[in-house]
Amino acid sequence: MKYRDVVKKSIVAFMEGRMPEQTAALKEEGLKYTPEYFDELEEEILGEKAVDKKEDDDEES
Amino acid sequence: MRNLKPRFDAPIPGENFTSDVKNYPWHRSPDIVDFDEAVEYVVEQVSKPSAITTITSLMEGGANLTSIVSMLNMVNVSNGKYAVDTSLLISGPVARFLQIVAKKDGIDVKVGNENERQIITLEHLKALSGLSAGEDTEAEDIVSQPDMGRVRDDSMPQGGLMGVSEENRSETASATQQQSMLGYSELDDEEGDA
Repeated sequence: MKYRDVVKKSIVAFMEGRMPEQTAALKEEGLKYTPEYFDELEEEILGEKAVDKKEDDDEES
Repeated sequence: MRNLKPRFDAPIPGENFTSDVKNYPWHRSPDIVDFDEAVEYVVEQVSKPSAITTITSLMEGGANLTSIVSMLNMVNVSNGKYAVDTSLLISGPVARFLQIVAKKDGIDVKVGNENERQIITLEHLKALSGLSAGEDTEAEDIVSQPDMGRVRDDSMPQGGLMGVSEENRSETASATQQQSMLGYSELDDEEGDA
């Protein structure tokens, strides 16, 4: 298996919601950058964008 | 035939044990060992205006997330920022962040195709350089012209390599001019005859 293939496997696992358990167990407070964190970030970024676009449309009309 | 000459510039057995193994950044302890710190570092790195422009262009050109994340990891591991193991752990979060950036810019980016290796084609390069399909038709028209790249037959010299071409044949000096160039004059000819 090549490095590229392992990277892809890691990406797919994260996208499916899996996290490195042993790494997470090292920290009492847990890991910050979890799939849930990025879901919230996506909502925040793309949600803001949608609101901005709506405001622009209102100004034009 | 195989060259059997001995190579005296080759390393001697065990020479690797005599060299300093901390010559390269990846031979030393990495700067970042924490998962969250490493993710933060890469996210900050790719969020810089120059970096995000390049990465967005790559994604528009058809590069998938695996290729981009592998490239970022290679750079950071070779600079000693984090270890290879950490690079594999943070690949997921970094790819997810890039996916959000792509969605924000309206780019459809894929994780990567299992069976297909990403090959940089002319289309990729055109996309990266901002050329659309219609902009380079002028260049293609010029190349497709029948005379393009062909030497006109009438311009080819007759009479071998040193022959005079038809274009230059009229510029050849007359017999009198050639005589004067050689230092002879009509008077000399007359004296010679006498």
